[in-house]
Amino acid sequence: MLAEFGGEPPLASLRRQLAEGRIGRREFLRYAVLVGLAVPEALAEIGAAGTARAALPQGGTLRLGTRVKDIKNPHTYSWGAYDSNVCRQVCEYLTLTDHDNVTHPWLLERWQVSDDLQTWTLALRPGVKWHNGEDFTADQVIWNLRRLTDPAVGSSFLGLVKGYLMREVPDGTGADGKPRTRLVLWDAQAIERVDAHTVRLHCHSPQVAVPEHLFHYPALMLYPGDNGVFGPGAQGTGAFTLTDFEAGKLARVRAVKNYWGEGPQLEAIEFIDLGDDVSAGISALASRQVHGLVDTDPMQYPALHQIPFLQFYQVSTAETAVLRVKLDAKPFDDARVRQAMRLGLDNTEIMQVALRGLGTAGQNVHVAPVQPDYGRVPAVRRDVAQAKQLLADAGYPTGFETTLYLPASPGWLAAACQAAVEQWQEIGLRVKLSVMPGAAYWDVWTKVPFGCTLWYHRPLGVMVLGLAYRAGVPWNETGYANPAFDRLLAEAEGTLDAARRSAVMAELEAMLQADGPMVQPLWRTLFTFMDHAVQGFTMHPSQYVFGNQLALLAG
Amino acid sequence: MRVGRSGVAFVGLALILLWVVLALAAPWLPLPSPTAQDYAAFAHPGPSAQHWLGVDPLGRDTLARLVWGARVVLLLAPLSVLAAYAVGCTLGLLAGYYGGWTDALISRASDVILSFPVVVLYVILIANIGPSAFNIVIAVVLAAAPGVGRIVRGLARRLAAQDFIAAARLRRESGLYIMVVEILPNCRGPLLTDVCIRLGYTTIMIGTLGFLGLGLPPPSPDWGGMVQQAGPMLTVYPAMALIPAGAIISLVLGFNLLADGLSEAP
Repeated sequence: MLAEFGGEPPLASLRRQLAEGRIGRREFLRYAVLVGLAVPEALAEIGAAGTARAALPQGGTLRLGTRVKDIKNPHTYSWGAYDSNVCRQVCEYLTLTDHDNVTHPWLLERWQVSDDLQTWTLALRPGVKWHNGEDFTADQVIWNLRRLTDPAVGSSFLGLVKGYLMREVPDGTGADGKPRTRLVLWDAQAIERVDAHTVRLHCHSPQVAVPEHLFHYPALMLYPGDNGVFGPGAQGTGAFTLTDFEAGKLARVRAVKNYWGEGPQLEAIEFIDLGDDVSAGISALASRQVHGLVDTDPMQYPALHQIPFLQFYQVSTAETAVLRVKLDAKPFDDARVRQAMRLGLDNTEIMQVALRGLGTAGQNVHVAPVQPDYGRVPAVRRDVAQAKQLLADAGYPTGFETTLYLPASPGWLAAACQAAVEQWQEIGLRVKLSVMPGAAYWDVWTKVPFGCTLWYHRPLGVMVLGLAYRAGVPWNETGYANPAFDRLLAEAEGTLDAARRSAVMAELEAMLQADGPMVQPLWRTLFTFMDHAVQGFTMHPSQYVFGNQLALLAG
Repeated sequence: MRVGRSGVAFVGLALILLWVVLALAAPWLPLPSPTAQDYAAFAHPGPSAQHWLGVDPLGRDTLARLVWGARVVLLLAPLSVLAAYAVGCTLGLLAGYYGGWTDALISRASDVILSFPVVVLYVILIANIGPSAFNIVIAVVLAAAPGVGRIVRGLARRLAAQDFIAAARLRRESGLYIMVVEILPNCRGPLLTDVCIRLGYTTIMIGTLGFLGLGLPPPSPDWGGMVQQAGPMLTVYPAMALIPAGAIISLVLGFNLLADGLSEAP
């Protein structure tokens, strides 16, 4: 891969790309940090100095409205902010992708990557200790990484690293008589202990997004003595310790003394479950029973916008709704049908209806313009005549009936589905909606033939494609298996040159536009409201809450 | 005609007929599709020349959804009550006429069902069998039939002790004949009133299920669902929720006034 730069080291290449105007300052910052430049140095190179945080008030209990999901098995979290926000106050990640989509070292002091992007040396931050006083060590990192890559654990982290840390080996035959395979680390030394505070990852192929992968929300660093189980009293390196937890009701974390990083200012944080009814969030904020909401629905905006003591926060994200099909289910196994479904929709109109304008139209590619590796592709325009022709060619001249399964919450998903169903009628698709309770839907989300899936924001497009469309990974809900796609995805993952990477990504996106297993009509602009008393808050595109940065004005 | 002799019943009937006429005329009224979305109306979702009663949170015409929603409620409520009566009357007649272990078995089973709070029973049933028009009918039958059966049982027991029933037995009429031809017609007075009350309850229940997200699946125009979807807008656009709530109230009021009138009229 080094040859792609004509032998030029990655950092030099990035400096040249910045000077030539091929990448922006933000993208330079992101990738310069990624290949090992310290954040202050990277900021200095683009002429931006870090600003000192204003002195924040101390004490107080911050109450946040959210859903409180089961948090017992952090390495298998799948609720994004809902489950990880509680655990992230106690346990931390090796890296941190901030609200600007820039990834920093966190429990790491720094990382170094070889010029071929295949060897990542992770140096642990000195002085980090568990709450019980033990040092945070390389052995503990290795224990976590091995657990995250153990297929028996079932972490979605596997989908991210499968392309460069794992390989498939024969595993006997299945009940159907067909040979089975299982994933193992590609080499016994793939995760190497260099010394007590250094770990080295040896990848079998180049990978540019390792730091981002280490911030994938299940990739929390757990205390090995807790055996992967999290609950009140569990060890962590974070600014808080979990004191109370009841799924569906409340999680309470209390500040610890001698936290290694900045803060915490707060004495405690309470995560209060407000259920799926969006009216409850409005009432709770309006009556000041909570200081803020972790997640808001576009339906809440008109009411919350009128409450004078609330501060509005927003951020453009890669969070989206994907109306996806199973490729082994008729009639969706025909690419013409899937293309007709895409051509039958006006994505801008769906976004307007579902998000009340708080977002942007999608291009059916599942890589967002806010992600730095986005490759420009032509927008999809609604073409009813062509959609009908494609359906007729596929043997459905009068369309067909089908059922779209979706979770009851969040409400904007149902709104998007209703808007799509309304538009599909015009091309002859008669789609019934089957709205399932959230818990029931997320038990079968990878199994229903036609479903609507909420995909959270990821800092890089390659991460989403690796999680959702790479053959055989746990979250490949559509059964999409395209060797050419996988090959190109691996190439994108190992390409640092911005122009070349964008070109590869554009090819991948074009593949999804042509024969992809889904319609992806919108991108969310995430927003929330917090009481003016809440200080230090910044809206993160994944709705992550960093409690150590927050404070509460008295009174 | 008892309705003609009661002003209250007349008002009730008029309210019901208003909705019946609107529901029947829905396909011919100059209304937009109840599922068509007009996001341009988000800025001013209240009543306008284009949308007389405004739009819902997804930009759908409220009047169109009310009128088409009336078809749903005016079909489902009578159908459900009719089915509940078919089951309830059968069970009540059997229990009241035959007595003994038949009565004990039916009455105890009814007691078990009646011991559940009605709303909880509906929620448990619909949450388990899934929301659909057919399942709403099933749920209403299961929840309402024991109540109907209890009324019919009481009436049947009283009537079974009367001379005309003894005469029918002496004529060697079959049990089925006595129950259907001799007893049931003589129960009609109290049952007619109960039907109207139950139609009102069922209308509320269908609205409640819709409000709880257990009504007809979207995008069906469901009055309860309309109230629920407009909930987040209550403080800014109260009409969005109040108009469908008013529709539910008017229909329930119609059924209740009709029931009152029927029971009061000589």
